[in-house]
Amino acid sequence: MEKIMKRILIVDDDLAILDSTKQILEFEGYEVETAATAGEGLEKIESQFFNLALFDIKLPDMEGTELLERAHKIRPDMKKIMVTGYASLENSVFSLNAGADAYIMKPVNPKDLLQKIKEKLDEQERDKIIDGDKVAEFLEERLLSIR
Amino acid sequence: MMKPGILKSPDTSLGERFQVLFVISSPDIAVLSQKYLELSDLLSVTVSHNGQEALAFVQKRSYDVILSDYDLDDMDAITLHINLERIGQKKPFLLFSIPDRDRDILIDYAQDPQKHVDSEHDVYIIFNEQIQKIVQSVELFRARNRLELYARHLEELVEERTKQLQIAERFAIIGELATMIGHDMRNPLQVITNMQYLLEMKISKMHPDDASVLVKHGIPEIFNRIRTEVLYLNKIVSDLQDYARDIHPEVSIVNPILVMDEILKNISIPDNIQVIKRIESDFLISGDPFLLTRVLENLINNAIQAMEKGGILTLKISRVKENVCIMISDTGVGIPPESLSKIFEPLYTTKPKGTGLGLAVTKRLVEAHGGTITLVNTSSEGTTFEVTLPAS
Repeated sequence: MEKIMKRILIVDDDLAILDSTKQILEFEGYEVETAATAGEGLEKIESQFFNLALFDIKLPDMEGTELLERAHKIRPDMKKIMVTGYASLENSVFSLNAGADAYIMKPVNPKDLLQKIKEKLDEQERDKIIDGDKVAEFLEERLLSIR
Repeated sequence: MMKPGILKSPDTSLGERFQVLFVISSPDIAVLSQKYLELSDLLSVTVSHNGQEALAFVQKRSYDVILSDYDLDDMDAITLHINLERIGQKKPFLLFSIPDRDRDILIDYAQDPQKHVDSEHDVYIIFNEQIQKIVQSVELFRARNRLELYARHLEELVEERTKQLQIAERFAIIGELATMIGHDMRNPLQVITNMQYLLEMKISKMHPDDASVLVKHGIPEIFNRIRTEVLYLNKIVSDLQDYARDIHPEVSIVNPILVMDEILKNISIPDNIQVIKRIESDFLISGDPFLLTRVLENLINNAIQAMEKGGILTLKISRVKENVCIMISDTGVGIPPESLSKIFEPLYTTKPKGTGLGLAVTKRLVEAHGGTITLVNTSSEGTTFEVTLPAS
């Protein structure tokens, strides 16, 4: 069976960044969607499934941290990585508290980015198995109690 | 009736007598005046009998005040005053102006005091008035001088502050510029970095035959060069942003030894450089691990760059009272004496590829931690920097 491709959303207002990051991730075998505004990003998050999203900390229509909080409410299981500049380190700490799974500093080294993405996706995979186990356990218990 | 006396100095312990040059052509009044003026303990009087003599006297020593009769044998007081000013004498100049009646009293009394004993009272009054006039004029002159001095000092202060403001303004502009450049350059640089990475990936996944064609034409080599330069551009932008931004250290407990080891692992140390670590014991610092890494990284990189022909890099950590002291020494070329005063100034560099922000940023970062950075010594034998940071 062919492995299911992981879906990643990139939100950044710089089209060249969007495009070049998309190419790197696609080359690595991910399925990639892009959004140039937080609004567009939220629309896609609501209507489609993503395993992971990259948010730039500065967006034209909304602070990246706000996008993060909203996205976290809609899809708590989606892994979220904040991409932040030097000057926004304080924001990064805030981001971690607001539901970000990681942050990565600009300038982004593509190797580091890919590694971080892989790490978070693996984490998600493990969580899913644990969740699955829990559900199975729960069902088993219920079943036993019914008998 | 009480006999009036001569005014005395209220505090003779002060000891200073104003030096008076009294220019007068009448010998009788001269002798009398000298005696009575000096009775006050306030004045010390030198007599000059004519204008020319007075002009010669003032060149030999300095007087606090010049008191001159109007009619002198060789000139009048106005001419004397003009001549004094011409030779640069700026001391107060007073006229010995007394009514003719008083002048007669003085002459009579000078010639025969016994006969004119009744006039003694008037003589006292005349000289007391003169003494007061002289003392006031000297004090006024001195006060004016002090004021002038204050004014000049204030002007200098204003000038200095203005200069400081101009420098601050210049740095504020650099800061703004840096933020702008950082913002505008970061993204294109990121795209170039991304593309460079894609290129490498694509070449690595190419069919070996295709890849060998590229290698034959030296294409990967060219791309490598581009990557190196992009890294350098990124460093310039980071330096500029580091310099421009406000520093708020996120303090935690840091082990400088671990920071140092991490840096040494990440930077490539040339084979001809030997690293010696002299660490007395484990010391902890309270500081921002990320910022402290930049501090030590900058200093170690500088040290390595100073030893192009190889040498020894010594890293020493010790505890001095409340502080942890980190010394970074190289056996490199040293800093030229003419650069010493400027090494911590932003935009000053002697390196062909330096931004001149490295040490300026390093200093800012260290100071933001309540620490200090000093150049301990530098010569053609090498250079040592010392960073002191508060121990945790």
